[in-house]
Amino acid sequence: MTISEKNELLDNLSTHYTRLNYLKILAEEKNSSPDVLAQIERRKIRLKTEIDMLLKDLYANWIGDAAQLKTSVDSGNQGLNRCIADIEGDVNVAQKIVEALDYVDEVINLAGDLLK
Amino acid sequence: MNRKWFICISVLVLAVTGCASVDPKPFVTFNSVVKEASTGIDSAMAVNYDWTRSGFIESFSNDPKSTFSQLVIQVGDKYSWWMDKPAIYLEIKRTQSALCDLNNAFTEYANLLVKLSGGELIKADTFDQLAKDLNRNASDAAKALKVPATPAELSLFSKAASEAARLYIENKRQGDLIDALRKNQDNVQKYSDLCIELIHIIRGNMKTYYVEKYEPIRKAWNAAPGEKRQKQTEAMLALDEQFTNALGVLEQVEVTYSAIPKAHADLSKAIKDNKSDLEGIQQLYSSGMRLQRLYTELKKANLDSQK
Repeated sequence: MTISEKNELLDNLSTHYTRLNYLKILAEEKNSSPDVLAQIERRKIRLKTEIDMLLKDLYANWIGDAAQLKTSVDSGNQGLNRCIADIEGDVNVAQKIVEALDYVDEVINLAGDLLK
Repeated sequence: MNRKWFICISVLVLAVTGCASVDPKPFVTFNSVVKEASTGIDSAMAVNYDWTRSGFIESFSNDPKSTFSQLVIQVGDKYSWWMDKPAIYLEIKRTQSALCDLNNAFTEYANLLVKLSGGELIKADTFDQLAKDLNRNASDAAKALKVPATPAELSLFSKAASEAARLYIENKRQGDLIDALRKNQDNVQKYSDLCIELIHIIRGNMKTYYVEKYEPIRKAWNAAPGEKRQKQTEAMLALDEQFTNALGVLEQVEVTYSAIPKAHADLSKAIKDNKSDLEGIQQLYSSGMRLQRLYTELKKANLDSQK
């Protein structure tokens, strides 16, 4: 059974559970026999047990899938962080080149003075 | 010759400066709606946890088969612990923690996209300063080399050179962004699918535990004399409101998460063409705004019910 099918089943069972309890309320309000009420109650307990088991299973699966996806997203984030660092590095390099040119100019000026 | 060279380079570089910077606005919108969706699912999850826990207390304490040992935690080595038959609300607690980790990772991704697309990374000021510094250098060098260039030509050359550096970095940034969006599209789709899956689980959980929540109110109603049922009526109306609010939030969170993959794909279009029609982003934004209103109401109703 796929996760999506399990989720569909959960929706059906939970809807059914609310209806069953509503039926129990109506039966009580119409003063139905204790036997009828007991039958509804037994079904309600069984249904609730099934729903709880299904919920536990779905939550446990989800936690596993989420942890796996988180690892993949984290790895993508590391790649993006590297890209950002590279670009910041490129801006720094451009600034460093201009600074270096400044030193070269000084050297050229000094050389020019010496050759006069 | 040198004079011609200056002019040629300057004209050539300035001719290709038509490459526009990335507009960060769609990335900011995407980032803010991702946060709204994450808050929306968190708030529904919080109500779900409260209901399931109180539902467990109600059914466990009323079940004659319940034993005290079922409530006792087994303590293991160091920080480990377990329960022989853990209640569902504990599984919800673990899910909340896993959801928080996943949302944090995805929110960080959306933040990084904003950073990579934003003006802070390639500031115009930095390149203006580069042009000024280069201009000073070029003037000094031209004098030393006896190059016959006018100050206006040197200024044009410096501006062109710094623009070339900016363009190089801007192109690299756009390439990195497009690459990141393409590589992560699959993860975004999985994130959307997984969150919708969780929304469906919460929906089934809340429908079931709505019954568990109203049963004590119903019992109190039945036990109270006919003319003294105001407290139970108010409690039931508050619960109904909380339930319908929660379903409304879940429905809207589902719409929002469904819109995330298309909006993410639209971000690539926004890089290529600032004026392109970003329908996916627009849908995501509208959905995020509706969601914000709904979960604010839900949080308020939840707080009121705890008073």
